[in-house]
Amino acid sequence: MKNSFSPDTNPRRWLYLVGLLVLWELIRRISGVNPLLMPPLEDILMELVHGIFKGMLIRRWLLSMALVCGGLAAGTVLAMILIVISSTGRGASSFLSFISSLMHPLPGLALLPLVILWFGTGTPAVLFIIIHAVLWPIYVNLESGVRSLAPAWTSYARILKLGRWETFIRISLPGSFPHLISGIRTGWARSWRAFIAAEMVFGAVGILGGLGWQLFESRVMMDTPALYSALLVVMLTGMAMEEIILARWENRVRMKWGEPDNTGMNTE
Amino acid sequence: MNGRSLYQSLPGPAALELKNITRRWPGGEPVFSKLDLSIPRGSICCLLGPSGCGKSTLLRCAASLDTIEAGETLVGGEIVTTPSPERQLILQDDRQLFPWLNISENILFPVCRNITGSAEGLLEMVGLADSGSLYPSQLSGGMKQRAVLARALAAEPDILLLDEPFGALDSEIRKRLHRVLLDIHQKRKLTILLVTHDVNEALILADTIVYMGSSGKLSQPEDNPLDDKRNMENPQFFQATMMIRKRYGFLME
Repeated sequence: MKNSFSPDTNPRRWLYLVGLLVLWELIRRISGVNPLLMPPLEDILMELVHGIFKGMLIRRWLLSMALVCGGLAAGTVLAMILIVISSTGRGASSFLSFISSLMHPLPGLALLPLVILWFGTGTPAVLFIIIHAVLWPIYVNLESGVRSLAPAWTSYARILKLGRWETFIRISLPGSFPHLISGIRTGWARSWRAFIAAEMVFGAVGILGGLGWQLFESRVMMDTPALYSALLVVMLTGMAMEEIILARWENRVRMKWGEPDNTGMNTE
Repeated sequence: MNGRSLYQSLPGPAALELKNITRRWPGGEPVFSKLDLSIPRGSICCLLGPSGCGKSTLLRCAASLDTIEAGETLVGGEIVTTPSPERQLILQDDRQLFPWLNISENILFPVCRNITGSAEGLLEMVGLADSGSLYPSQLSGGMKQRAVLARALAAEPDILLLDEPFGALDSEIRKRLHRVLLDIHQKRKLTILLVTHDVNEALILADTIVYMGSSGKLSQPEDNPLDDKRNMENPQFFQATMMIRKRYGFLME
């Protein structure tokens, strides 16, 4: 079943990207726009190659990925802890559901003034923003997964007289795994955006800085080829992580779990 | 009646007894009220009835999964109020097995807290000897139901409660699973309450047949009119099917 909001993962999309780059070069040449605003494709790609093999770009990319993946892992663990707490009773579940309803729609950047007050502008502040971006979508998805377990599984747990904790560990948690991956997918997209934006506001993370800092620095130095090459890396990383890794993982798990495909992977 | 009468052949307390039970819908309307059913130990009782009459609800009450508003459920003469592994429920549902476990692990799920044996014997019993390492998503509907049956047997139940377990399968696979179920019944001396709306299935499997009408009323249990040779090519089989259809005045299948 195709979900109209799910991403199109058709491999031809990578060809579209090549087409867009060619179009960029054509427009630039025909319009004769200032190269500072629209640098030649060759300069952008040279900057990209140089940045990957010799410059700071690859190191900054690695730092960004390490921070976002670290935040993603921490957010996943926290969401699981919250789900364990919510499974202890109706009161805890209702309270956490209320908190997640409050926090889930709150953009991380709206918290910036408070985060600066609490943590200053260093790595802890950026990590806080990432974890906030990740935690709530994962929690909401896990909660929905635990609530929509196959009735036959929950009946079977009762027949076997499994306790609440054992039911949670042996049935609820593995049973809601496809929902957990959906949450991680949403969390990834939110945290990647939040990280880039936060770094542009907070400044470099650590001594080196990440991709957000690269964008900021390139703008200040008016190094537009470096700016565009960093933007390209931000976009490509987001797309590759979403389409090559997470959507495929979710699709595989959903098929194994016998759930309808929600990723758009099986659509023509 | 020509059939075997297990009521007479097995004296002693009934394996499963529902006494005067009432179950209501959330709005307060009764699904059934003051209903009695007694199933002797070691017998197969088929509960026939049209869709929506409350057969599955009755089965869930027998498993103590649904709360009854009045009456009591007795197992081996003792009142029970909560579900227990001795009463295993098998549904028509395609998603009974746990998809993250392979078939052997699924079968050993009820005993994995203190693993006492392997799944091999059970897999062989249900004809899945080579499929232990497969996952539920790799199995056909019939294989899944066999695996569910093996998992139920792993808990060493006294009573099997089956809710149209073969309803979604094609007739050939259904026939094969009937044989598997009858073999297991004979080996393990289980008591079985099977819900179905298929008269043929009831005649093949049942020792006694009970009919539930759309108002939730139960008929008196009656012995299967057929003798032990219950194959569908037997001319008696057709006559018995017609007799049951006529008696209860409903169209099934």
